[in-house]
Amino acid sequence: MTYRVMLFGAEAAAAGERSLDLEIPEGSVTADELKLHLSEAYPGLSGVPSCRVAVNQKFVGGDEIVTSDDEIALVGPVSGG
Amino acid sequence: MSIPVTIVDGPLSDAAPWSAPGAGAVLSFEGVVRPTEEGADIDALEYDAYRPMAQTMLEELAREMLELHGLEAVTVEHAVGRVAVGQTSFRLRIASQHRVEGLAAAAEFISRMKDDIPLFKIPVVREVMR
Repeated sequence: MTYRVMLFGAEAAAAGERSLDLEIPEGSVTADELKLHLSEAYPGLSGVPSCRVAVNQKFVGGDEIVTSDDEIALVGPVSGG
Repeated sequence: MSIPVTIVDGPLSDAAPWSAPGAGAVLSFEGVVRPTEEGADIDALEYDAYRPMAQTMLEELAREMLELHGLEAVTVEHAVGRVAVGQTSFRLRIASQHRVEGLAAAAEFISRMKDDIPLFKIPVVREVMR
């Protein structure tokens, strides 16, 4: 299954992309598992462990289930203002 | 009541005069890009946003502040894209009956925005000619 993960700020700059496609055999994973897959597939994204995951525009906990149909965003440290 | 929350491309323009019926205190806070960021001279900040989520969260936070602090009105503007040193990246305006609730709401809004709302900045460090 292809999980598309949107990136912003420092993570987008590090990846040189606004989104990344992640191939995961399972049709659903937890948010923490998604981050592990992301770190393995893109080791240059060193900030992934400290990022939060947003699913369908809401922050979710590490145990929340994410599917490939969801709108997924990796949210690094925020700094508005 | 709808709360004006706008995310705009580029620096914010100067604010027009603003108030609200019933207000005895009108606060306007502006975030302005400093010439240094973590000790480095910069030319600008490049702001990014998860735009639909940031828009929704700013609206929800503004509404919560309005109700929690009994405000008369709130407006929020935030920039995305390049904002040069000295230009305005953020503006929060609050109208309240008295100063106390307005000042408390402003402090809480800004603190929570900086903790949670998916807005990001990347410093554009000034290149030193050698």
